[in-house]
Amino acid sequence: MLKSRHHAPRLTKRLGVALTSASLSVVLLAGCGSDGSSSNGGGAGVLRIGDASSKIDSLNPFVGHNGFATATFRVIYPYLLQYDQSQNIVGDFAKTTAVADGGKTLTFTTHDGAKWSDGKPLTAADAAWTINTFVRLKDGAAATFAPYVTNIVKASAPTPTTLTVEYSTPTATAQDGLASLPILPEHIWEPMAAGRGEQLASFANASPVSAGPFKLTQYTENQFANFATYKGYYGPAPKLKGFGFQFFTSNDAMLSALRSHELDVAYEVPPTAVSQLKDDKSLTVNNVAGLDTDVLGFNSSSFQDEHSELKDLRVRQAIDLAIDKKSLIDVVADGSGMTTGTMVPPALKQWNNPAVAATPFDLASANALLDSMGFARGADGIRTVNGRPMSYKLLFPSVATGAPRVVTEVVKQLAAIGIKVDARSSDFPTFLQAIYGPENHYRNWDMMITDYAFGYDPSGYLFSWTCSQLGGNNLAAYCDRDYDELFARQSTQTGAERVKTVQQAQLRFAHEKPVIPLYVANAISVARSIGNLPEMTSSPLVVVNYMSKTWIEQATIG
Amino acid sequence: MSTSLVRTTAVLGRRLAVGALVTVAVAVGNFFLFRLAPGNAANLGLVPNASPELRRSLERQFGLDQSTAAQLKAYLLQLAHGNLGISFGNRQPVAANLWTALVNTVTMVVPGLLLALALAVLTGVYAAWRRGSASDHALRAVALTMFAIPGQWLGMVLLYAARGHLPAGGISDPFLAGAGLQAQLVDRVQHMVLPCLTYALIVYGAFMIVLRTSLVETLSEGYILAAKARGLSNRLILRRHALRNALLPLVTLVGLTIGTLVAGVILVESVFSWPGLGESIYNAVNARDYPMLQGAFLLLTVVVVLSNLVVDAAYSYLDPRVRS
Repeated sequence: MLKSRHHAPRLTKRLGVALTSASLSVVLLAGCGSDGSSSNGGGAGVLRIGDASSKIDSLNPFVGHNGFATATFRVIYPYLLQYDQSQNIVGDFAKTTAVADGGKTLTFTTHDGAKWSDGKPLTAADAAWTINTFVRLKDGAAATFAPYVTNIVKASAPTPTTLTVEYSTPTATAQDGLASLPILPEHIWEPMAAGRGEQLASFANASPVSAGPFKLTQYTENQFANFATYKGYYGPAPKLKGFGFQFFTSNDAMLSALRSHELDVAYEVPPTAVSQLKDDKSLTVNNVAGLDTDVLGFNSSSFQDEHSELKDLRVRQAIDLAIDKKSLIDVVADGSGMTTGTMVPPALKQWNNPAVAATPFDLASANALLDSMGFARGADGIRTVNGRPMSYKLLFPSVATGAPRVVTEVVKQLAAIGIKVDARSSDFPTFLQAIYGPENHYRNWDMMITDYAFGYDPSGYLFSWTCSQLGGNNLAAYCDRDYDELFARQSTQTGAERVKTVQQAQLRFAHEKPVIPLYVANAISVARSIGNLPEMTSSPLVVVNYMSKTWIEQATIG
Repeated sequence: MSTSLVRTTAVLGRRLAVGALVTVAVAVGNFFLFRLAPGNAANLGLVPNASPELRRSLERQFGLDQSTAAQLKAYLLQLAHGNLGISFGNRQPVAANLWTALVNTVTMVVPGLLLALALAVLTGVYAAWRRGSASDHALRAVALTMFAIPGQWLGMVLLYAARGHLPAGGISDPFLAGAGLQAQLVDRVQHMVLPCLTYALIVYGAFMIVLRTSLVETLSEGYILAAKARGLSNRLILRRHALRNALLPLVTLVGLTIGTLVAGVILVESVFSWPGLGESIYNAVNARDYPMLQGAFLLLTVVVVLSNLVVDAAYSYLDPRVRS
């Protein structure tokens, strides 16, 4: 028998050389594989922002649509208009705005002497070309921008600093739409926009010719984007030397990077992490009212006839009474959220109807209401309607804010009034497919929980529940002529008149209860105490404000 | 050319032909498999809240408005030309997207695999040699623990343990741009440490246990005793007679590990924000990005087929009985 040795055999020299060579090779290979290039980013004065929930989906404005892509477009491209910190629409590339012809013509005076980053002049002609291209291709390559060019007939630039946009009818969302359209350099994009613009979507736009306060200096897909100040910017010079987005796939890694000073700001922080971060004196937790609203919706489709009692307003009222929204916020979001009774979140200030508050939790009244309808409990505690148990199928996407805990809580709370809920989770595409069903008939489900968020204008929040959105944003199959009439009316109004109609639409919707808002999640970000980030405590979009340049123009660090 | 080499070449040739057939079958199967999932990139996953105009436009752009037969024909034709198509997500060539992701995954997996092998060989040989001893028990316990604990949890533990000392995520420090080559190289190596170590520890346990068991069996063979009787040194007996024979099961396991690479690394990629193949596939599934999914699964099929071929070739080299 072999004697044991005290030492295991050493690795042979050959193996050692092989290991070293292989390791070096892969490091160098990775270096070659990266499409990053050197930049002038890094060092003092550079704000480093991390996120673990999203990434830039594309640098091409005809393809990219998510928050980070739009935030990137916002800082590198001129926009005619933008939102200020009070959610008012103000000028960006446009210095002045004049409304004429009963609201059908908007005339803008734009900045003079502006230049694109390649040295070519930036004029009102670029804006006119961009708007006309979006209008011409709105059913095709520029369909992403279709909602923002509603009713636009044409744009023209009679002088290099004058832009006129003509509408077929007065349009309430005209300025909001123009605040959402990036102005693109005609000399770069025009060749690709010929014909039906088939080449627009395949353009990577890896080195964008830009004219905003920052230019993109380095980008690696799914990993990071770095920006440096653009000296030729027509607006106020930013105080930062640069900033960057770093994208993570786990919140743990992002927060760990923040604590070890690899990041300055962690964006979209989960509420469950707030309590542990509050103890760290070097960090500032910003927990502000957000836009993301969780809702419980009922299937209002005429094809949903298995549980017709859900179409009785009293049943929906009982369910609303039985859900303790404050408890939901505590359990699901660790207190970081707010209740509301309307689909327009309170963070939208003037548009939110404060009279539409969340229904107070009242279990006794909920039970009494169902008792009064004759829905008695069976031996198992589940109520019955004409001998059929009040047992419902609830669909929800696994990515919904607060899921699955919010669903678990709702199921538990509804059990207290004798309603059984069979909750089923899926990914978002599968969820939508199940909601719509074949031919958009909305069959085979009773309730759903999902979340949504739009911009600063209330039209998105209202539009989603109109009849025209069946098979689209309208996930509850709600279709009400009176509500649609209110939506149509506000879309041609302005000022206080529009505010009044928007608030009436919310009242109507809340009265009908096709959807019950569960809670509005707070927008949470955490920053190292390193400077002044004014938007962090005031904007529901926090630091990555894709509706405005002001957040990054005013930010300071160090 | 020797008879055994001719035979080995013929066997590998046959395996290669079968592998090619399997690859084609998988390529066609993938086309239908991903279309079974509800929704498509135009109407559901890619653009939430898309307008009807945008949906129709995307369907036209992606060819989803054509019949399934027409889509299949177009897919196979472009595949025959070596073209994996254009991603629905970023509208860039799938091959370029996959190359970037593959390079990132290889960057993590190869060093991790080599580290795991080195550790497994060192500790496996030591444990087998001293089988039954306290150190054998301890090493086996460690290996079994590594084999049993969830990789994601292990990654998070290492992440917390190394906080402040090693980068938390990503493949490099994005804010280091402009620094010298040496600083960038050091940065890349620092970013590799935690994911590579996590991956190495995840696969180490199985490697060590298999090697130790195989080596214990080999060390009790008669020819080992004969070698000892001939007066050969322990080192020589171990290296030339025992380890070479005991490596066969380990080679199989390494081949299987490479074949199932994505399943193993996706959790590590997730913890350390490592933009590799696993993350690409996850994003493509959520967006119903058929070209990316088809390309990625074709790539994985090729990797499995090739790794099996390499294992077969390695067997021929390591075991003369296979050659004969």
